[in-house]
Amino acid sequence: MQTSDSNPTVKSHPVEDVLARLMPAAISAQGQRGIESMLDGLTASCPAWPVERARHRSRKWIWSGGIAASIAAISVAAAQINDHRYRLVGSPTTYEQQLGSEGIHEDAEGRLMEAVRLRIVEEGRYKDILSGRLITLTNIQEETIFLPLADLSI
Amino acid sequence: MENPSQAWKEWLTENGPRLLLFARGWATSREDAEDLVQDAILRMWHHQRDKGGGPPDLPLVFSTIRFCGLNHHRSESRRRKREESVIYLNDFQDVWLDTVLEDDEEAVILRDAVQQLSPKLRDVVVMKVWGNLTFQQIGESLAISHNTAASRYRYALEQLAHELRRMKETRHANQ
Repeated sequence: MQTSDSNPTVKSHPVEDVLARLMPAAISAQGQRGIESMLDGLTASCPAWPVERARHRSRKWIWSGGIAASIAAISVAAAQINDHRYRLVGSPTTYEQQLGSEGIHEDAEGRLMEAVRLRIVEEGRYKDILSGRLITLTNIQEETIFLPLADLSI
Repeated sequence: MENPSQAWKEWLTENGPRLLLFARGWATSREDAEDLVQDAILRMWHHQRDKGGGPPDLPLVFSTIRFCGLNHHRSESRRRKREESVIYLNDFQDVWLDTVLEDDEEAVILRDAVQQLSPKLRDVVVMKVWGNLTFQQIGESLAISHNTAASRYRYALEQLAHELRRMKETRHANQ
């Protein structure tokens, strides 16, 4: 019997017509959520990709370069700073530091996940177009991400 | 830069059911099958990171599910030997395939028959009919020649046809 692989004009087997009236059952809602949550966690743990970090955050801004008190009125968002009197010099840099494990936890689906504490440091240099002064803006975020335990053995 | 998680989720929405169907043949329950799918996707994620990070090709995923299923089966066999007093019951209400049409007697018969095929034949049928793979791709996934894949598929169709005839004769004889 020829198959459609070898000859697309070959008629299908009668059983194939019946099989075409069956469709695979969908993954359960819980299973779908579990896999999607895992994918979000994997994306968050990959430094090459920008991420939506939906976990606990603490943010600190550190000023350097002898900034005067009047600078305190500037918005902490880099984009807002750029829209006012400060212009970004060069490209901002970002790097991550793994601070350590915070133990094993169970997620909502009962799966074991390791909590890992990360520090993400973003730095940008800005020029005050009025005074010509250069400032360095450093944004430090600390987050906890959750990695599936199975991830660790691969 | 596009969020890769979103690309994978879209890929999962499209291919999740066929992956689950394949995994059902390697698990004793739907929940275990979903665990196999998740395990395979995790392995694929790491595998794809060196290849651009996008979702993988289906033949490789099927092969990975099979690999995960074999590992799971080995650990399950060892666990069951330790728990011989526990009786494992199948969920008789659980089906792997849904009928597109209501009251489709032939589809219901074949739905059960597909689940009863031997793993060698069932894997080929699932990948061919619902995975839409070619025999070449099936062969690569199962590490067999495409001719062997095609032979198994033909044999499976004949078995299913025989079962369909037998069940219809039995049902009509009882009416």
